[in-house]
Amino acid sequence: MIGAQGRRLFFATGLFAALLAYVVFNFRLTSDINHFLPDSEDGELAALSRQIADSEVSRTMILAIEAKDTPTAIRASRMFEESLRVEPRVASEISFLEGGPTSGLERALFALYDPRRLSFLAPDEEAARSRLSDEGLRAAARHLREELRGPLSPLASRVAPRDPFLTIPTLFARLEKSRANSLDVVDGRFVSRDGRTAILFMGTSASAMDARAQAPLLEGVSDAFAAISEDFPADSLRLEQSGLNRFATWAAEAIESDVKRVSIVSAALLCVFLLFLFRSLRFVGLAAIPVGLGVLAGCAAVLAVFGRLHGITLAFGASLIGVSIDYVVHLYCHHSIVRPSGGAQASLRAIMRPLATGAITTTAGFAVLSASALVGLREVACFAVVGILTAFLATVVVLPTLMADTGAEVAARARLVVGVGRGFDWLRSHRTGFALVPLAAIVFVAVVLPGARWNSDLASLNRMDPALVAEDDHVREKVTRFEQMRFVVSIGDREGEALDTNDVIADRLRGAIEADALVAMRSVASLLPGPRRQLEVAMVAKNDQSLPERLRRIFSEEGFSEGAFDPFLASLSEAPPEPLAFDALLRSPAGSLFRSFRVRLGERVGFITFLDGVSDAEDIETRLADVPGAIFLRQSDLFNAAQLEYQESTTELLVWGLLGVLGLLGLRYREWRRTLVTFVPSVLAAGVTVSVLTLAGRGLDLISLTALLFVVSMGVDYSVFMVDAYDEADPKCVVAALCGALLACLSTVVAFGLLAVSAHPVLSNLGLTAAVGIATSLLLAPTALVLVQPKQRGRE
Amino acid sequence: MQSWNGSSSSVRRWLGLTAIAVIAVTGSVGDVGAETMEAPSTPTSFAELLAGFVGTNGFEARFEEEKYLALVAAPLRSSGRLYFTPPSTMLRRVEKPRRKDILVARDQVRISDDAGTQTIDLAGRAEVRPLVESMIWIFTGDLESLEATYRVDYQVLERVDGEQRRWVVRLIPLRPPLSQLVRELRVHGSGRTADLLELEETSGDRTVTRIVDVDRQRRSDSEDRRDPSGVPSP
Repeated sequence: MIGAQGRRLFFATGLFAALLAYVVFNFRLTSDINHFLPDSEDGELAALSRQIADSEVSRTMILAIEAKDTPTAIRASRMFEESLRVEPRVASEISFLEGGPTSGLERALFALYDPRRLSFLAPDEEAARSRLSDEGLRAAARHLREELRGPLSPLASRVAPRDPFLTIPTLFARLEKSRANSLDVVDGRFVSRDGRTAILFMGTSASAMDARAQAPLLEGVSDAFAAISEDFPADSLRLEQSGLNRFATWAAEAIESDVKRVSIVSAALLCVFLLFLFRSLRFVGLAAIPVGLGVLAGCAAVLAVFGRLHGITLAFGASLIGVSIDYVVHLYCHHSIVRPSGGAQASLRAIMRPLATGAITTTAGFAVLSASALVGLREVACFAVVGILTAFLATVVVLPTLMADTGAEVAARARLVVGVGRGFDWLRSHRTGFALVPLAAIVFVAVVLPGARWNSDLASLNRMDPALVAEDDHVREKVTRFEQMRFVVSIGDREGEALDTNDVIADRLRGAIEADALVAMRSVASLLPGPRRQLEVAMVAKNDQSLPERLRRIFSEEGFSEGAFDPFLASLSEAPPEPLAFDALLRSPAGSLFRSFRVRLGERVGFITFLDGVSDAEDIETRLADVPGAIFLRQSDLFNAAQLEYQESTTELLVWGLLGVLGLLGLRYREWRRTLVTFVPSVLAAGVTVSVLTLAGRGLDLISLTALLFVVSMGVDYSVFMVDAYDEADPKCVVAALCGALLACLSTVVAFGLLAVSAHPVLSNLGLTAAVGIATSLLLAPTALVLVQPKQRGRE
Repeated sequence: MQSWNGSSSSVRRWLGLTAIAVIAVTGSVGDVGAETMEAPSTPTSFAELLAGFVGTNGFEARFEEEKYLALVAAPLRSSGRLYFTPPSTMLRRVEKPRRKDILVARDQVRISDDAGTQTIDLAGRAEVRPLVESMIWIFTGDLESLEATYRVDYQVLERVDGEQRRWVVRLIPLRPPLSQLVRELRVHGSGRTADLLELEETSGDRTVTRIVDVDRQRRSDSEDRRDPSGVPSP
């Protein structure tokens, strides 16, 4: 036996080491809530939404330094930028850092725009023709005359001979306007309109969701600010930040903190329980084998299949400790309370069927989630199935050979056994009265359940630390007024194609503004029309044979000198230059002004038009409906609608899961009464749970649904153990099963109860649902057993 | 297509033009600042003249301007008011033929009219900044900085018909890009009063600004001078 023990222990240790090594070397944690948010049924929209979420836009932080006055804010901004550039944790992750427009911006832009000024004469062909009509020329002459009279006349007088329409100065004015809408540039630094807040934009090379890269970067930002603050009077500077990375890091830290809390407290409590009831360090140590192997195997499987582990899955896995320990607890209880003559192996044989039934039904319940389209739920399914089966196998294969054949009598356990036995007898003797318990549960569910609602609010899953949200909102209000969740995207296989579409979008949205469906938009179209439009506009001027004569005549009538615009007229016959391209602007010192407009969408490219004050989304949708490549992306609506769809489809999966569990129980017992006794209490517990959530004002979401599956699977385990024990000839078996179920329930409820107080909304939902449901399952399981009283097979 | 040389020439020209535009705005600061420092005797040197500009408390004045440009057949005229508040905020309000405000404050030039507001940040234009600063140098009496940028020629002219002797300061840019754009900036006055500014560009275009009706009692808190773009009024 020693040899067998040694081999099994060696095998378990080897497997543990191998899984641990695999997990450690492949560990990649993410906190991206998108994994638990549904795809739209329109795959392209969902993909687009995700790509935008992972684009440079999401990697940009806004850093706002508030000071008592502008000069102080500007000085702090410069020092902060220098400090960030030398802070190792930040410098290594910066893709760009801008506290003001780059020096030489106008020079660079002039070089790009001046040769192509004919292409920028007007927004489109029609406007260009209007501008070159007699009325248009006369208006241009008068405008130029007015400019020459003004303070910028030296500029106008030098530019006008080649550009009598002052196209380039107009573009530059437009550029100033588009800079950031709410920002001034003072002394070369971005300053918000309050005049006291300097703004810096910082792009990170790592994904915003990469908490491992972002956490040290955020620490570096804080330290860099603390360092410069020492050069200013105490509390005279305030740093506020905005960035998706802060939310992702917060979520990851919240999850990791929860995982640690759940793991440590659950493990500690289990140790206390086991020591208290069994007084055996060996039992405590052995219990760690299935639990550890189960969690590690779950992690390894998810890492192998998905390439990374979501924090929510990990937290779920930590709670799995409470599930995988159940098998151990049942084995220990049977072994210690029933004390079969064949030792631990005999105990295992006695409870093997319920143990296997519990493991198979739980596994089957979670296995259906692997059919979910939500990658997050598939991860949970993978973790649960592999983790639970591994824990079960470890319990069956490793534990009995390592357990002592006989355990010492423990007074505490003896008192528990007596108490539980008396309680069960009392239940049986008060059957009629206890009929009220499930009846009350049914009435409660019947009354409250109709009021249950789906939680379609995306924000409920995405809810974050309110202080963090308030700070983010405060910073964004200072920088931009445009919406973050609704925008229009033009998509094309090539950049030029996307820009051409973008022009059409801009035209349509101007109509929406005129129709009061929209207050304003921010599009690159006014500064960079597509190549087709650039050419079309330029050709209007070049092809107008009468233009030279008319321009000379009309400008002369407006007081301009003879031949003043010959350079412009000569340029009409020059070959048109290549259209201005986005990359040229991006590479220029003005790159920061343009960067946020373009998104790479795999092989394709998109340009975003930001919207302000959408009052009639349907109007905008209608206007863009016939524009190929134009997408009005309403992320919130998209997710919420899709979430409802997914809730329904996940409900279907859950129903199939329940039916699968029911089928397995039917196969196992081949008798309706036992099947019902093992199945109904947990289903009723799920109903009670939903009703409790409803009374608590919480709606059902995908996470709650998943937790309900958990509730049913666990609840079935309790009932199976009780029913199977009930069939045994030895009445101690029922008491052992009840004690096991009680301990298992306590450990599970503690684990999920700890999750219920999590700051993370998803974990909180998961924890609350499971804790309430499992506790209810335990209450209902013995009650149902007593009420229905299936005929005892073992005593026949 | 335009050659690279042509492009870079255009760039230089454009930058220079921006610079001139700014000096056209800020140039008046020095003039009117001089007006506020009225003194009984004619300064014998530029240093003495500058010394009188230090410590002004702000003022209001009228201006009349004529532009002689190659582009137009006849000079373009405009008139309006100037307001100055120490240390470096100035509003130039054109009243005729059309209202237009030009505000210099906080390292920015803001031009506002019926069509909207245009903001020019001086820090983003390193070539422009010295020009604006040169006006501040005049105002603060920073002879050293002025002489680092311009060749300064101060002349006291002969008395004419018993009037107070007039003087003229010629500021000639020492180096590009300013020297490529501005041939000469001339400030005329008498006693410690500046009353005429002439800006002569290398292109031959010329701007003549006369400063009249200086009111040193008017302070900068008048409601009607509020900057329409929201920047604190001078």
